[in-house]
Amino acid sequence: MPINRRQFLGAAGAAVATTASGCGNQGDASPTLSDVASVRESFPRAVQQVYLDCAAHTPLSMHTRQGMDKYMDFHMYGAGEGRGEYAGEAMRSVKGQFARLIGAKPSEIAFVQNTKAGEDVVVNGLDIQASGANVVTNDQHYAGSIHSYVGRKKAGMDVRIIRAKDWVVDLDDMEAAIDDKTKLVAITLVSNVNGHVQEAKALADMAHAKGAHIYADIIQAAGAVPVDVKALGLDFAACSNYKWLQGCRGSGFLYVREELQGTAVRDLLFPGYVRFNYPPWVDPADESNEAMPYSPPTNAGRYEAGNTAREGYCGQYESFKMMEAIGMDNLFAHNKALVDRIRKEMPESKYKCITPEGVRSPIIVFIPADYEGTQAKLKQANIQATMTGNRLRVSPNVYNNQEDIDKLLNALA
Amino acid sequence: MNLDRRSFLAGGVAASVASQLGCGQGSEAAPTLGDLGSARQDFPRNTNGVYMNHASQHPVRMQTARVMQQYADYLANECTRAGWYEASGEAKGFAGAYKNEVKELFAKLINAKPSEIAFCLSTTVGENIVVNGMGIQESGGNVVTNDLHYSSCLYNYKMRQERGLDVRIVKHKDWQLDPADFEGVINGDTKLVALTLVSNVNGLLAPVKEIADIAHRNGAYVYADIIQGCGAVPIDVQAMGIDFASCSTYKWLMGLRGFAYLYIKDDLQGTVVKPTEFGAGVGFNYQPWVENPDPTKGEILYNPKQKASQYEVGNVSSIGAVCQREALSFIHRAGVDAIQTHATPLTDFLQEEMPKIGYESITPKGNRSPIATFRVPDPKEAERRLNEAKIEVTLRFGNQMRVSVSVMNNQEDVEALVAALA
Repeated sequence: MPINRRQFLGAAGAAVATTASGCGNQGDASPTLSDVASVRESFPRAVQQVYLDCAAHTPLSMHTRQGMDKYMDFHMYGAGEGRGEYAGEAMRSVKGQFARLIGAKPSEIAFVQNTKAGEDVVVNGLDIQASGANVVTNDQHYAGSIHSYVGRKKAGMDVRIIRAKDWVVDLDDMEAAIDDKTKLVAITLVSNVNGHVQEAKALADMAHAKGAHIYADIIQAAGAVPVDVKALGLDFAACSNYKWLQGCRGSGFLYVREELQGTAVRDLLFPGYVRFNYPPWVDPADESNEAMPYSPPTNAGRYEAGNTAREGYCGQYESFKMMEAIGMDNLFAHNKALVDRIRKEMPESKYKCITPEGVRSPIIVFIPADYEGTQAKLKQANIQATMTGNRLRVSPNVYNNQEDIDKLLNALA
Repeated sequence: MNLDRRSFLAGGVAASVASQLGCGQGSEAAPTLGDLGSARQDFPRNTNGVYMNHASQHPVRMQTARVMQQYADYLANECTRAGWYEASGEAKGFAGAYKNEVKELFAKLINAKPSEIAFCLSTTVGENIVVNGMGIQESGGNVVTNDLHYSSCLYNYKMRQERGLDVRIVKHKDWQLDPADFEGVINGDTKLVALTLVSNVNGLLAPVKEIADIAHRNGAYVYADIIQGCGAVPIDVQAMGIDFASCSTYKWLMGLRGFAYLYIKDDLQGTVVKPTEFGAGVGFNYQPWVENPDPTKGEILYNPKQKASQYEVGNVSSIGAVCQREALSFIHRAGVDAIQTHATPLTDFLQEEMPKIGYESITPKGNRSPIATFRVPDPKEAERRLNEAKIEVTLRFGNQMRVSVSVMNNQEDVEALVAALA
């Protein structure tokens, strides 16, 4: 029964993604990779070594860097010669670009410092503990988030952490844990541990059926796999920019579904300002107005507070422009081809794949029989991937090519 | 008369800067201006008109911009992790973005310990960590603030007031704060007194020690927004009785937006201010995460961060950090006393001259901050003249002109302002 549902949902998920991206024959047609290939030169690091570690950190591209430089010029020289206009345009555009990427409205996007900060805006704003409600999550959620929930559990919150079975979360286990008192289901859409894409739509349906909301950490998803928050039924999502969005640390995005802004998610940061309507601030005062008038923001900006890292968002503006120019479908297809080949050709006897079959993420993870030996081989071949715990995580992106994969396979053969 | 005073002031600046920099030969010696003397050339902003709007945003030095470029080079070319690859040269430090060093530099600047400093996104985020972490409303406590606290913070408290928090806003008198006005308003139920150390409105250096004494006598704590003070006026959180403080780096700390500091006094961490977010990660101690779980440990290994780091969540702006290292090093080399001593004669000059041309000051005389604010008789005309003379200051609140001077300004700049408006 779980298998059937999973298969069904998997197919549905694929269909949704295809429709959302507006490309009806994605599955069959071979992707046009010419644009993708030319982009490689813009990533100096990817040319210098075999960089297969985007799930850890993107190498900075020259176009993204240019956006940051332009902002620094503005900060150093002031406005003039288009500098102020550039910074303004970038800051105004970047929420819309992110919104397009995940199928949201710009008014549903807030700037946040990082993924965790976004999740905390949601968790604190939902007022879960005070209302005696619970949170359901699983151990494939990001370890930093689990840390946060363990901390909250120690502080008295009802937190339910479902364990994956053989690296896959069983939907029935999640369903059994979600009850009428569940206020939030918190997941990571694409696992940083094994690249598995969680069945967000099914989980969202379960959550909504019980009156709960669903949050997804999309840091390994946004820019890596098709994400359509509406089709997936996500209520909240957050990510930093420094992985698949090809940006920097210290800048990120939070999505809060429109109807939940200011209602389900209460404000805790209060960005805004007051005016002063009494002497000596103004003389005479405007009798028809209050002494200290103010008007709260009415979009997701209400969850931001203070100034953000503008050089980061100016760089991000350029990253998005490049991704849109390539076309997200081309990018996804390019990465999928690389990961599929790795899965097919890695020697099974020495590398046990713990990424379930059929996933659509560009992250693939193995348990090497010889951990130290693998590490040494990679180092010798100047290949960077992640090795933590007992695992090898390979995560190619748009700047990688088949030659990189040749090198990886040769080094580990 | 002007000339005389000017030469006198110039001499005074040279002497005090020289003594700060350890060149104690007195006023007869040829002025050795060291970092501050050449500071003007560090700021390319000076090639683009007269900039006296540092209270809004301090331009970065070109050395700081260069560091950002080096760091971007590192991100594009060399970014390494987990110590797997040997980083070379500068990249070694860049791997950790010099975050520990930056905390030390900032702590030293306000006379705190590095373990009392957390990184956060912005000044207001810092204040919110304190206010949310104190659980003021739940405990039936109140907050006392004043109308020279930063307008965004007042908005924050007004919104909380709407939601039931007891908020008391003391009004300034003639643009000054009288500690006596806080007596009685601060009472036994007051949990927090929130103020801005140097007002962004008129540069007033708040009588923080006197107000802190009243707060502490009533068992309350003191939060200070120090964004307009830090780097511009000497701050000693211990001597001033400040329990919590926060500031971003894009003003007098000569850094970037999106990178800020929060100071939380040692003995109030985790007790008076509970973390409302929980940074760090867990380890998993069960199969298949680990082949052989360690039976002496729990299944989920939870190691919360200690000290002020417990208020940090997730990645901060590494670019902000590396730029701060450069900028804070410069500020320490120059010395905040010397920076203040450089700015004070410039604002004193404006305080003297601006009223003569009809611009009444709303900044108290003798106030030693680099911000001075004046009432503008004809705002439209003033704006036209400022544009024509390529002078940037802040014009707002209908008829206020805020002038804020820094190490990159000199006597010529303030004279240019008076000449343009006269």
